[in-house]
Amino acid sequence: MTGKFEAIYFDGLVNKKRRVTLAFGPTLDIGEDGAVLSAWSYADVRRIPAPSDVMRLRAIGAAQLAQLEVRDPESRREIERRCPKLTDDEALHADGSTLKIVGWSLAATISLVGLIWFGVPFAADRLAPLVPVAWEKRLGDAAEGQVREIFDGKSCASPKGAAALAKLSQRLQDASGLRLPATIEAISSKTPNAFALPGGKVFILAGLLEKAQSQDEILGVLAHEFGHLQNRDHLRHVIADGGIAYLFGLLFGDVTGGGAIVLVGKTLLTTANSRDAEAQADAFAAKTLDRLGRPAKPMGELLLRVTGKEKDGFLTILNDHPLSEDRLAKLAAADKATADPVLTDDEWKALQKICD
Amino acid sequence: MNDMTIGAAQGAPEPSDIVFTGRDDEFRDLLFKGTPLEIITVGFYRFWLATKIRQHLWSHTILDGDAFAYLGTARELLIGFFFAMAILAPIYLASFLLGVEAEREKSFASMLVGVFFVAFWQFAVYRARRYRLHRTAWRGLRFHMDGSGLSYALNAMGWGLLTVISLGLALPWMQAGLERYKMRHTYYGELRGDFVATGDNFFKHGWRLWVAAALTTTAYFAGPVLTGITKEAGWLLLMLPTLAAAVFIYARFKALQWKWWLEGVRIGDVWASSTLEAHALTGNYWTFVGLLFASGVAALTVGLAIGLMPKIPGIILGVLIYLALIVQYSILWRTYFVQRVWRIVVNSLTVHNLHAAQEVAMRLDASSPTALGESFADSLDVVGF
Repeated sequence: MTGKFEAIYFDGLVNKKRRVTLAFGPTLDIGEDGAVLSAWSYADVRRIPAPSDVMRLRAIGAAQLAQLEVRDPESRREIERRCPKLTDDEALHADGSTLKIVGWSLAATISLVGLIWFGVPFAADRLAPLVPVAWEKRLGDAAEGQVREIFDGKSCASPKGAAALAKLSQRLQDASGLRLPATIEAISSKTPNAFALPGGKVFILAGLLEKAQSQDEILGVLAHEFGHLQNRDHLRHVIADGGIAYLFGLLFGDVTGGGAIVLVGKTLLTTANSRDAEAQADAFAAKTLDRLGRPAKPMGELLLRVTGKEKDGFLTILNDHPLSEDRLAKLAAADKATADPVLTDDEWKALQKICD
Repeated sequence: MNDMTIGAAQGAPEPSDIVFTGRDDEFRDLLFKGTPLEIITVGFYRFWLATKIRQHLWSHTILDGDAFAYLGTARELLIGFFFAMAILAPIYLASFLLGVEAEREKSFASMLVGVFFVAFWQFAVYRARRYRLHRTAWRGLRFHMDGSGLSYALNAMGWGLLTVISLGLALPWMQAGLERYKMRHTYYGELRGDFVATGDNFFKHGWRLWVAAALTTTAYFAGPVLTGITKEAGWLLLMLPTLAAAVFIYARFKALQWKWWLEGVRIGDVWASSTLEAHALTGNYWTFVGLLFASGVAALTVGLAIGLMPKIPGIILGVLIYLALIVQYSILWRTYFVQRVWRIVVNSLTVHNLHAAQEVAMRLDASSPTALGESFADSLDVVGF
């Protein structure tokens, strides 16, 4: 009678495959050659996933990997009848329902996007002022080395041009009330651009001087770059970028091809932040120029000349600068000169030729 | 009767079968359901899908009548991932500050910080292997692994440098060295693993592939210069034959590597032989390339059509096509680089001396590793299955 219910048993301690007999007494007795190897109480028996032709069981309190494989239908019926909690950890093995995973993922995404959209810029605004100026300078030094490598490091300083640049720089700094001294340097590069580095360095490229039709255009651009310095935009940018990259890293992970989604998301968010920063730098420039008694409109005109018409661009949401037409409209409001130009005509010509 | 038992133990023992019984369509269904879910859940489903894939592969791999069991859970991976992100945060910050200082010394010196992450990646790979092995069981007994992820990472970095300097010639010895380290720290219960295949042997069978790879690379870059056509035109012309050669070389390399590795692995006195032929994986990889190419052409056609559409619906359709491409690529990759290779390789195997792995006891001092290592690997974008 005992030989009737046959099964295969692994005790979870030694990998021996044992052909055992099952006896349904007060407990489920697993026996081999007449000796009882283990006795499982019915309430402890749990079913674990297995192919359909076999029932695989474990027991709470037995060795972790101890398992019983039952094939014949009669034993399986008997086990199903006697073990009340047989299917109790099926939910555990199913590892949560798919719907639940989708729901929680959506909740996590909403919370992350919210954190990135509102939390990161907020944190960046609060953290940037806490960073000591000395650290900011170190960051600037690091970036300066790269800039010099990229632009071949040719610094321009024809004597007359340098004198004009120094004068311009001094007047601008006096009018703008910068929180730290700035140095402006011209670099011989055809690219029409100007940019500031954290710590107070401003670079103006020869290409921009060439494209400029009046000194007020250059004055405006430099005042705009001073705005970035004053607002510590670089630090805010670095902090926000790091935060966004980290938080986006929580999404997609190693999903192949997911990287592009993350990249687009990051770009959209950082450009939104940076459009805001550009508008503020414009406002700073307008205020500074007002103090100098010079018009802000020429700066907008120069921008438009450099970037070309942007209104009907394909994906304007990806622009990190506000649209030039919009900026022009804003700057055009301040189009009256109440004081003489900062530089004399000769000085302005010398500045334009600083790289020759 | 006693004579028979003794005879079986002493004479040449019967080799044991190992087979893969998983069906291709079953695996396909798993991916068709799981991969879109990965996108919908912005990637969080990857822990569940990876677990399901492993459960499928392990439970259909049957050695001597008993299947392997994968004991890991998705929840474990998810928690490990959050821990990994928390631990990585200060590491990222420190690497940034270090990068700034390096940059001040010398421009672009911060790239050296990248070297640290390559080493860290090796560490993560080791720990991920440890996790997977510990969640693998056969006949109610776990595999596991000790050793130090740190010394493995240093080892791997040294070998990696040597391999780069030698233009890949040191690769066989690198693989032998690293596999020796991994296998000697691998256990099945108290049976210790070993790795006996040598770099010499790998090189002896594989040197032609190295020559082929070198010739292909040279032809691709030197061809246009020698024939005098413009560089761009030459490279475009050579693209297709180069790609074909690359697939061919890669497939042969993988087949050779699998066979060499499997026949070098020892668990106690148990060893395996493989009938994997040199071209066994070639058809598989060509199918992958063919399907990928077809989907690329289809996407390009639709993409051109989008150009004629109004802007907003065009963008929406473009995004949808992009998502479809991700899903499709992911399915193709997991099918042809994971499941098919697994099936072909397992079915080529015969296991010898399995009786030496009977009545193996549990190793008592084995601690249970967390999924942290796997999660480091995950957050560093290592595609694992």
